[in-house]
Amino acid sequence: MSSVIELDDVWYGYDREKPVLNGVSLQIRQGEFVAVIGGNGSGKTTLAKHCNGLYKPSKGSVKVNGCDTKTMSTAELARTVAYCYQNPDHQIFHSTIAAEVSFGPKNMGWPAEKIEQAVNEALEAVGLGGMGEAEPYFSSKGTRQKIAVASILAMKPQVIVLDEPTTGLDYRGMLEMMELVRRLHAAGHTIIVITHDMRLVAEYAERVLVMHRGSLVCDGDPQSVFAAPDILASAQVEAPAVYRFGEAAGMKGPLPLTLQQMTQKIAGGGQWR
Amino acid sequence: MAMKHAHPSFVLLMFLLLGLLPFLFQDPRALAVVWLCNLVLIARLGWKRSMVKAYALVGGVGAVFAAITWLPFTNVGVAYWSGSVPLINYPLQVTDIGVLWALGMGLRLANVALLSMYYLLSTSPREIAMGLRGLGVPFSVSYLLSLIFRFIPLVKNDLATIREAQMVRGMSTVEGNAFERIKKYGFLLVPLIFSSLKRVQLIANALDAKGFQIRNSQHRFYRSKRWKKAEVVMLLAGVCAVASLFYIARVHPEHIGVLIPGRI
Repeated sequence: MSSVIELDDVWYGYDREKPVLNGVSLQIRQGEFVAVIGGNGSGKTTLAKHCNGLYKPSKGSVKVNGCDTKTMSTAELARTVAYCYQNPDHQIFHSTIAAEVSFGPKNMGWPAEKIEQAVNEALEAVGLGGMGEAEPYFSSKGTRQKIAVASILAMKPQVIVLDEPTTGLDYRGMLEMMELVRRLHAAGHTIIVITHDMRLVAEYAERVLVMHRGSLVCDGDPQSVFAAPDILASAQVEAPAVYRFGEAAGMKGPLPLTLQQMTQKIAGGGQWR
Repeated sequence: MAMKHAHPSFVLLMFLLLGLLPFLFQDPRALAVVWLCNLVLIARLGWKRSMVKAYALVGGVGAVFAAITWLPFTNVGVAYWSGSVPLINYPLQVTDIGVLWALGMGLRLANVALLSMYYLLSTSPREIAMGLRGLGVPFSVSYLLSLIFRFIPLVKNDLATIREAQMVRGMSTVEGNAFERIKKYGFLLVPLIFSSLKRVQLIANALDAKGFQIRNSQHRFYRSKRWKKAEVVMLLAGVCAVASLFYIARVHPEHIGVLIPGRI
């Protein structure tokens, strides 16, 4: 797989004396589902904001499809890397959902027919088809979060960065949101999710990046990352309960990450390897 | 920092006294001296890099704007140029006194911006509330005032996030003509107003939940500072100095540092 985002020895600090990123190097390949985890203030969001040029590295380089982000504006990079904020209320300002979703495509200078098609497709993708004329502000948090996702989806980006997409959502809202993210991934989008929810990481992510004090301390698949308790503890995160239960029960082999895997393991089902 | 250990009311009163000085004088030469003294004082107290930038913008732009707007409206002195506003024939002129007056107004604004920005950016809302309380302002009023000041950096933060959230959707605030750029800022205002209103509601609920009352004579600060002798002496000396300068500038027949007697 070709790499879509490439960070090479990236340093960044809001304050010169206190770097928030300390020489982070990594590659994100086309079609990956990456979860970025770590404690508060570990540099997760700062790292993600480098991917779409909101922040430019003070040292090192970030390349998106081979182009250095220092030579491109955020508006230009938005065509490739979309960023969905944790709080949808920070971006909604139109009086209808369709107008809100069409804001990005309009900024791209697309023709009206293409915008309309993109808006309809984006609304269908997030499950808000036919709701284009509804008022976005007074809908539920889950719906507003979907509007925020639709508004970036309409720009047809290659990479979607989601900053804590399930925060403030109830269980059903969380499931709907993550199923939406899974569908987007299946449709070919590269997904980067910043999260504190380890169950979500275990269930959906293919690759996990662990951030601690501005450094990338672990990079691997969920199974290998959760098998490194010292790193997880230093990064102030904990493996999901199912994994810890398997560990405490003395299970052999790769420990189950999800409830489904656990039941299969206990039942001795053939699907578990 | 010395200010951290001083009584909050002392700090507030000293800044108020310093803030009075630019209003005593009109002559830019006197005001330049006041401004330089204030600048040295603030530099010695220690200001952050971010404040220097903010002051250069607010104080600098404000001072230039004040100077330009005053320049043609002072009709005292020898005219270098005169004219009038078309259609309404309002007289405009640039005079020797007018030039000095305009420069003075610019420096006056630069002084006030310097002192107020430094005080508000370096004093916590709690200290502002304690400072006002020490001057006899009811706690609830001083606390609510301090909450307003607390609100400014929060709104600033929200605005930065909202701006980023629109930038990642392809909005650029640096492209297009002035009208287009102003229009783009409108896209930031709606979410900002909504998030600010929500924040106000949250703060109001939090105050209610903690039993906040407008009239609460029972409120006490756990660690109230006491006035030190040196502070009282310095304050009295400051009042005497300002009173003396007021006499020299405004009451004394020479009116030192005053261009047009009778005008503030």
